[in-house]
Amino acid sequence: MSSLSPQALEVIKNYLHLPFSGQNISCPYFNNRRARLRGGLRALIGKGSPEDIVEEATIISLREKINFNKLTDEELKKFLIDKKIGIDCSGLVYHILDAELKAKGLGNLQKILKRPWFKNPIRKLLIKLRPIENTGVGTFNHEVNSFEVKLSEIQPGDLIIIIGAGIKQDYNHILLVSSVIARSPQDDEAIPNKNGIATPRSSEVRNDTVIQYCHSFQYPNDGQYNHGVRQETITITDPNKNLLEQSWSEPQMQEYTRKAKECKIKRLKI
Amino acid sequence: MNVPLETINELKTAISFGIFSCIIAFLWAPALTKILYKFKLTRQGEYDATLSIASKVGTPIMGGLLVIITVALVTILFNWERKFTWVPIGVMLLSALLGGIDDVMHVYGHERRNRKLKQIFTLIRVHSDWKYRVWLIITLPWSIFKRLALTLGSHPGKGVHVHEKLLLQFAAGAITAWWIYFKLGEHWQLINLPFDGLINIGWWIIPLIIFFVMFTANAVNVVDGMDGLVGGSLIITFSTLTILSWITGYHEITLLNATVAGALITYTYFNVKPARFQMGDVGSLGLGALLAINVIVINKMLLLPFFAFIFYLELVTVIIQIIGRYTLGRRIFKMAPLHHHFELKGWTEEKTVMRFWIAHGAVVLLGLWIALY
Repeated sequence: MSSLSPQALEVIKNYLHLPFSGQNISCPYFNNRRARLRGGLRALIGKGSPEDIVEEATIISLREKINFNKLTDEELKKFLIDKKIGIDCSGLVYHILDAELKAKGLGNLQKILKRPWFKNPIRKLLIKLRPIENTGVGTFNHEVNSFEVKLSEIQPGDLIIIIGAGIKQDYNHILLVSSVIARSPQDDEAIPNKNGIATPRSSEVRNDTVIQYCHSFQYPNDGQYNHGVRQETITITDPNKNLLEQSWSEPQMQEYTRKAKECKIKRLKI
Repeated sequence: MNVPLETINELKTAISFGIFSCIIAFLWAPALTKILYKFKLTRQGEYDATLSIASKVGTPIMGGLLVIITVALVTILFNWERKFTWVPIGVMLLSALLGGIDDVMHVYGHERRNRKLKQIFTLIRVHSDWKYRVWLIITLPWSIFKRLALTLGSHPGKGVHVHEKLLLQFAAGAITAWWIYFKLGEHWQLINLPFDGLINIGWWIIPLIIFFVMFTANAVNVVDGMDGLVGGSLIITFSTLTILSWITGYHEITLLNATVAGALITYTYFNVKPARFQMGDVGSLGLGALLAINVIVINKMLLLPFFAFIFYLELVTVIIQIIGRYTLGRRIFKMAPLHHHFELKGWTEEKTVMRFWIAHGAVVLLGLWIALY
């Protein structure tokens, strides 16, 4: 098995189980595309870290005299969604990859991501100040930031980028590969390295290899309060076929992706 | 060193004024409390209510009237002097009036309409009444100013909105500055550079007075919220100013500062936790403006950041928080003003208030030391 660093996995864990004391809820999905809030706190525009999100929710609860300890998991999640607190897909990927790069001693993600399409100096300054808010799926997808890889070469930290999805084919989405688990006997013998991360003896994806990914999304049938960050898997049934021909634990995402204009596996240019 | 008897007598008079105003305030404080309850001028569940677990909803506001009225009465009756006490009392009453309107509107007002600029532009295009369309075009700059204030964090409540407050405070500051510059002579145009001496800044005094009056009034207003914090801090400041103005020979201002300190002692007695009443904007804006003017009149304008240390610090944290929010998208402090930050970090209200008093006292003392050079 190969996976992201413990620090990056910790970020995922915190999104899946927001660090509230007493409750166990995943971070809801929130996309600022409709609300179009400008200049807001990043926790309120779908770009906050788990800590930002918990802090903001706590502050709002104190202001509105709501005691979190008396709320059930469902009520707390409803509270977050009603207050428009959540994370969008690219925000989630940004925070996880940022933690991954820092854990590997490669600095922060801001140093790696480039946005050559912005020419205005004021805009450039804003990007320096608010990098997460100025990062979307398009930023990760741009050729200056990432390159395409084959399914057989997929690794933790790779991105599954979906372009032109939705009814009008105007939505983009991004999934982050968190682990690649090989089921073949020889890979089961993989030895953890000094950081505790097990690396497979062969990086080739074979039959039965399981790709674990995480993303933040809201399906139409999720309703108003059942969406958010999830961790799902794709089991490789035939490595020679493309990603959409494999077995997804989330058939809805598979269908969503199938109807999109493009689906690519990409890796950051580090 | 032998201090002249006359000077000692001045100090004795000042102390007498302090004691007198303290007693006067104490005598009518119960009546004020009853009046505030009778007219239901109590704290509502406002948006910016303090975070303390013990809710302050139901506590009377406008307790600052105790200080404002006592100081105004004592000064008008016993210390009324055109050159020195007209302006401070005038500015204090003007600011207090503005604050009082705000306090009353918070209780008896209704939610104010806040149109977005997009809506205004749409109305300019489509409204059937051409006169209304012209009116919207004429008032467009005001609407933009209002929208900007709302965008920068002013919460649209029932009271006077921030953009209105700023405009009215500016007007109050400008009238005061005009009166000082054109009617009261050269003395008011002097400022003392620490370790250097007096310099005449001429007409520059006008914008500086406007700025310091507005900034200090709002700074004191921002700090009001925790039981005892504003009262205790102002006692330290006005007591120090009493000493400073006595040393520097401003007799009327010495008496005025002592009067304020005395009334504040009574106010704080009733305001410490659990508060019998809170200062409200009527007190905080009035006393903030008075503080600025009383420092300006003794030519120590540059030392205002010392004498109003805790107030300026808290207002600066609000400004930093807004800048952080818009530039970095994050909170620099857990909450602004600063006392809420510590409250969220788990400090009790008493601990926060007392530590702020101590920090303020230390910096005011430093200011006094510098002022003597």
